[in-house]
Amino acid sequence: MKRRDFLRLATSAISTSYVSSAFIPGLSSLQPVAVNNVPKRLVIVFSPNGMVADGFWPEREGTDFDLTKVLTPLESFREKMLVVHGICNLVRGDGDSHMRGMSCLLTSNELFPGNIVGGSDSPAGWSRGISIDQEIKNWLQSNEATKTRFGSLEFGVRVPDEANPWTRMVYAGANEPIAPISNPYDMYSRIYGKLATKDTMLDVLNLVDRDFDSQNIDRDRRDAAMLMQHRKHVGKMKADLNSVDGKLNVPALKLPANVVDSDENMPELSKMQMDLLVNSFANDFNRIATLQYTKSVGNARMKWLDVKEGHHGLSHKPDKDKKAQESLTRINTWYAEQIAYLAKQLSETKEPGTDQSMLDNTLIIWTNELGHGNSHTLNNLPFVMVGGGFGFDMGRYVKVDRVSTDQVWRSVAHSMGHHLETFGSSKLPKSKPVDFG
Amino acid sequence: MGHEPQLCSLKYEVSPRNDSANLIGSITQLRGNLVVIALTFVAATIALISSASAQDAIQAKGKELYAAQCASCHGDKGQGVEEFYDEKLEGDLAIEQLAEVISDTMPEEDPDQCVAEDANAVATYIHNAFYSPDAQRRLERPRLELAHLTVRQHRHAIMSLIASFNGQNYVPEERGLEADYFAASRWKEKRRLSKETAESLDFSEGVPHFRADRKYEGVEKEKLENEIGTGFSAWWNGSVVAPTTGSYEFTVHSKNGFRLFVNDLENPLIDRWVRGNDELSHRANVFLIAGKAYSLKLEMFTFKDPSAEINLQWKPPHGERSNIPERLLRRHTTPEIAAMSTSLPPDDGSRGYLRGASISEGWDEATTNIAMEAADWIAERVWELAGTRKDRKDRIEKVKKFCEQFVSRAFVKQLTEEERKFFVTQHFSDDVSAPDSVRRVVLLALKSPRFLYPSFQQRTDGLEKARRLSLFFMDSVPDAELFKVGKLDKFDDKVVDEQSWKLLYTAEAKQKLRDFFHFWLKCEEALNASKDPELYPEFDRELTEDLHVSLDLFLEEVVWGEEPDFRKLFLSKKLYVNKRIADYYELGMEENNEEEFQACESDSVPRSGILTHPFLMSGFAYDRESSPIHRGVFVARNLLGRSLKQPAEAISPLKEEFDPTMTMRQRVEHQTKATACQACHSVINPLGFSLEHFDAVGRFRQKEREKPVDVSSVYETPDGQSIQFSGAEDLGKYLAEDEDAQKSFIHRLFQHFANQSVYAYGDGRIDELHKSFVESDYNVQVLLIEMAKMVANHKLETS
Repeated sequence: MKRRDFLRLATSAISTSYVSSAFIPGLSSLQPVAVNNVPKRLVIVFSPNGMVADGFWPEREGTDFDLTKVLTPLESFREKMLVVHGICNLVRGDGDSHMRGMSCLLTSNELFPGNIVGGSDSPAGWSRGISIDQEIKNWLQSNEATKTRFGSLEFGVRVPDEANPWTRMVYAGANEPIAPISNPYDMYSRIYGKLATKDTMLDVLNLVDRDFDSQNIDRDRRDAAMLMQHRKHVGKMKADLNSVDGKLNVPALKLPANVVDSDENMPELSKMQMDLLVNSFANDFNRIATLQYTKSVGNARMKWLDVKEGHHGLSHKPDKDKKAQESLTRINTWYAEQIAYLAKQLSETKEPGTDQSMLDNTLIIWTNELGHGNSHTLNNLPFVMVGGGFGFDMGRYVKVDRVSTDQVWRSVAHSMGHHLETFGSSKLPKSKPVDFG
Repeated sequence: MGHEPQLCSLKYEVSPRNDSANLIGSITQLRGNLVVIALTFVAATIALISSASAQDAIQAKGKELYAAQCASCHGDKGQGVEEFYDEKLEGDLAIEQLAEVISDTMPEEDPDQCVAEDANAVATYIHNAFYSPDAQRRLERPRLELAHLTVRQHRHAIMSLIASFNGQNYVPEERGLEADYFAASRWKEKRRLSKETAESLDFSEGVPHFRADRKYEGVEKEKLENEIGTGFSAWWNGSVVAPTTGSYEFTVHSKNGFRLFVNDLENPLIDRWVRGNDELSHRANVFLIAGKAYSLKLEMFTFKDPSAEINLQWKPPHGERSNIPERLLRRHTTPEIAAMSTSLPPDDGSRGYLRGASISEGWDEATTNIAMEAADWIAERVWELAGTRKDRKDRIEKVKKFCEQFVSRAFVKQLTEEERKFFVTQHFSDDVSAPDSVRRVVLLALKSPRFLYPSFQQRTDGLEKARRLSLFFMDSVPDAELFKVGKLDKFDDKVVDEQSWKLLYTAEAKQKLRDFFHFWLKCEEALNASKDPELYPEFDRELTEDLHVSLDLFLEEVVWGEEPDFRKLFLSKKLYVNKRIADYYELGMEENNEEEFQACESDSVPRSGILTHPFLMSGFAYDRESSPIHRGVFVARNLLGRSLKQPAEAISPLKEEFDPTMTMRQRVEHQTKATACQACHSVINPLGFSLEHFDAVGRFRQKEREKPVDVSSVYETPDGQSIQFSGAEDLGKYLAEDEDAQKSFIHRLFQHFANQSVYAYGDGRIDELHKSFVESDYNVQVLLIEMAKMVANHKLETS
C-alpha cells in the first residue's frame, strides 16, 4: 500500500481543515448503520500460481465428496462448503495468462491493449471493466438499507508495492484498479484511525496540561493571559473528545504490536488481516471484502512450512517433480487453513440481533488466477465457497462444464439479491448464470 | 513625567537633521537638480528652540489651550473620545505642518478660534506629548512579547526538525535535469543511448533519441528479451525549486507509460506506468514550501509504441499552468522534505509584521492537526529517520534515541532526566508499536508550549542564542550542526558572528529576505493587477508573472550581488527582461532563449531601480490609467515610513469622463484640493506625481492626452523642508540618501526578521543599526548580521 494512496483513502481521518473540528465530528460516522435487515456479505480470497495437480480436487462428486489433503483443514465446514470444478476464465485478448488470470478474474473483462508485456503475449494495460465485488458493493451502497460506512474493504497480505495487472484484481471501473491495503496497521488506521487518534489525543492533551503546569515563570500579565487563553482551548478540546462516544457493536480490535511486514511473518499478518476483516464486518462497516495473498506470480518464501523456494518458482516445476508437488501441497494447505480460520472466526461471531452466526450470512469464495501452475491454464480454476450459501446447495463437490467466470459472478450477485443481467465482456458467449441451487 | 519628555523633545528638535549646514551637505551629495528650500520659519524655529525657557513657555501655553479647546473631543492624551472623535491623535507631520492643519481646521465648529501662535503652541505641545512617533514610543514602549510560532515558523520548524535527521536539503545551482536515454524499456547500461542535461520537460514533439523503427546505432548488440529489444526509455532526474508556498498541480501529458515523483522518491505522485486507453493527461497536487528544492523524477518507457512523447507542466499556487522554467530546475536530487500541508490560521499582521499573537480555537486545533500530520509523516518513515531497519534487533533503542533527539531539537535544549522520561521513555512499552510510540512523542512535543512559543522558556544559554539565530534567519529551529555548537556553551560574539554569516547564506534566509521584499513592495497587489483588455490586450497574467520574476532578479542582484548596496534599489538603471517583457515594452534584447532573463539598460527610458519597475508601476495603477495616489501612498508609507491616516470617507477617484481633457494629475489635484484632504495629500500627491512618466502598465510616456506629462513637484519632509523633484530619478536619489527612508527600511526589515519591533530591544537601537548601515556603505547583508547579533545577545529584562 502506498502512503499516498492510503492518505487519499484516509483523507477523512486526517483532515487538514482548521475551520471545522477535524476529527471530532467525524467520529460520529463511526457509529454503524442500524441493522434492520440481516446483512448478506461476500468475501473473495485470492491465492496465486494455480493449484497442485493432485491433492486438491476430490474424487467423489456430490454430498459424499472426499476431503483431499489440501481441503482437510476445512473439515469442520464440510456441510457449509461447495467445491466447484469446471469454472474457466474465458476472457481472451491482450496480456499473458498471469495478467489476464489476475486482472480478468473478478472483472470477466478484457485488458486494454497497452504497454505492459509479460511472457510472450501481446502487451496490455488495465482491465476494461469493474470487478464483481465492486459491482455488488455499488449496488449495496446505492440503497440506504444496505449502505455501510465503507461498502467494501480490500485486504492484502504481502502484496508487493507495485501497480500492474499482476498485482490488481479489484477494479472500480475501466482503468481504475484499486490497491489492496497490505499492512494491517494501515488497515487498522483506515478502519479505526479516528478512534485511535481520540485516545492518543486525550492522553497527549493531559500531558500538555501537566507540561504547562510545570513551568513556573514569572511573566508579564499580558503574556500570562495569552497562555491562559491557550489552556482554555486545550481544555475545551479535551472536553469535546471526552464527550464523543463511538458506539460500536464490538470493540475495536487490538493488534499485536511491532509485526514487521515480511514473508516470515505472513501467518501473523494473515491472522491480523482476517481478525480485522471479521471485526469490521461485526461493526457492519462493510459487507464486501477481498483478501489478496501476494499477487499473480507471487513468489513468497514460506519458511515456516519448511519450503525454501519461492511459490511461483515451484509452480513451474513439472507434475512429476514429487518434491515440488509436495511443497505446493503444503503451501495450498496453508491457504486452506487461512480460509478455515476465517470461517471459524465468522462462525463464532454472533450476527447482532439474531441467533445466527455471521458465517450463516457470509459467502467466502477462495479462488486463484490459474487452474494449474506449470501449464498456465485459465481453465478449471480452483473454486471453494464456504458459508451460508444464500440459497446455494452447500455441502457438495460439483463439476460444471466449462462455465465462464461471468456466469458464476452473476449467480453470486443474484444470490445476494442483485439481479445483474450481464456482467463482463460482451465477447463472452451468451449464457445463463450457473445454477448452484 | 513632567519635565523629562520636554528635554527629550529638545534633543530631537535640534538633531543634526535640522541643521542647515548639514542640509547643504546633503544637497551636494545629491546629484541632479534637487532644490531644497529652507523655509524661513525653519530658521526661526531653530532660533526659538535654542532657548529652553521659551520652549517651555510655548509647551505650557499649548497644554492649556489643548485642555480648554481640544481635549473634550480628542481626550486628554489624544486617545480620542468615542462619541466625538475616536481616532488616536498620532502621526508624523512636522510641528509646522501640524500647526497649519490646526490653524485651518480646528476646532471644527470654529476654525478661527485657534490660529497662528496658538495653533503653533498646541501643535508643539501635542507633538511632544503624544502625537509624534517618538512620543508614542515614550508613552508605550514596545516590549518583547511572548508569541507563538507564526505560520511560516511553524512549517519551517517542523520541516527542519525532520531534515536534521534525514539529511540537509542542499542542492547545487547546476540547472536543468539529468537525462538518461536507453534503447530498452528499462535502465540498461549496455543499451544506453545518451546521458545529458535537459533544459525542460516539454517533449510534446518527441523524446530525444527515440526511433520508431528501433534501429539504434551504436548500441551494443546482444541477445535480448523481446521486451528490451523493442523498448525505449527515458529518465529525468533532479529537483525543482518552489518559488512560493502552497499546493502545486503537476500535469503529465503522454500516451506512453510514465511515473512522476515529486519530493517523495519512494512513492510516485502520478503512476501511469501501465497504459491503455486511458486519459492522456494526468494531474496530481503536492504541497511545497517556498525556497526549497524538491526532488523531481520523471520516468517514461515505450514498448512497441510508434511514438514517444511526454510533457510535464505545473501550476504553482495562484499561477498559470506552464512548463517549469529552467532556472528552477536543478541537476541533483535531495532528501525528501517534510512539507506539512495542514492549513494554519493567518498571523496577526496588524502592526505591519507578522506576529503569533492571537490565540483562537481554530489556531489551537490547527496546531493539533499539523502535529498529527507530522506524527504520521514521521511514524511512516521512522526506521530510516532513526537510522535503523525494521528487522534490526536494536531498532527500538534506535527509535528511542531518535525521539530524544527530536524532542531536544524541538525545544532547543538538552533534556533533563525528568524531561526525558516525561516526553520520551514513558511512551514506549511492549504493547505499543514503535510507530505508535513515536506518534505520541511527536504529538506531545509539537503540542507543548515549549515548542509552540519559542521564547517560552526564557533561557540565555548557548542553545538559546542558537535558537534565536535560526529563528531570525530561517524561521526555524537550529539544524544538527548549529545545535551542536549551541551545546558547547561558549557562544561568544565571535561564534554569533560566524554562525550568523553561515545562516545568512542559507536558502531559507534568502527566501525570507525575498518574502520581506514581496511584503514591503506589496507584490501580491501587483501580481493581481488586471488591465483593461481593450486598452492593454497583451497585458496578461503571464506577463505579470514574468515582471515579478524580473523584480526578484533585480532585488537578488542588489542584495546578493558583488556590491550589495541598499541605495541601488532606487538608483540602478537596470531592468531584467525576457523576450515577453522586451517585446511588450519595446526594449532591445540580445538574441536569447524565450524564458531566459537578462539585465538591460536603456537610454530612452530613465530608470530608478524598483521605483520605476513596470511590475510596481502597473501594480500601483488603475486598470486604464496611472494612479499617483496609490504610488504616492506606497512611497510615503512603505519607502519613507510616513504615517498616513485613512481618508475620513471613502472617495472614488474622478473618472476620465469627468473631463476628458484633464490629465490624471489635474484630476487628482482637483479632487484633493480641500484643506481636509491636504493634511495627507500634500505628502502623497507630490510623490505620486513624480512617477507620472509611467502609465497604467508601467510604460514610459512623455505625453498624456496630447499634453506633456508634468512630473515636477515639491515634497515636504516631516521636519519641514521642501524638496523639489522633477521626476522619478530625483525621487530615487532622495530615497537613496534620506535618513528617514533608510531608517524606515531598517525598522521594517528588523520587524520582518525578528517578528518584534526594534524599539522593544531598547532606546537608540535603530540609531545603532543605522550607524553601522552607513558605515558598511549600506550593505544589507551586514545590516542583517548586526540585527541578528542584537537579537541573539539581548538580555532579558525580567527574570
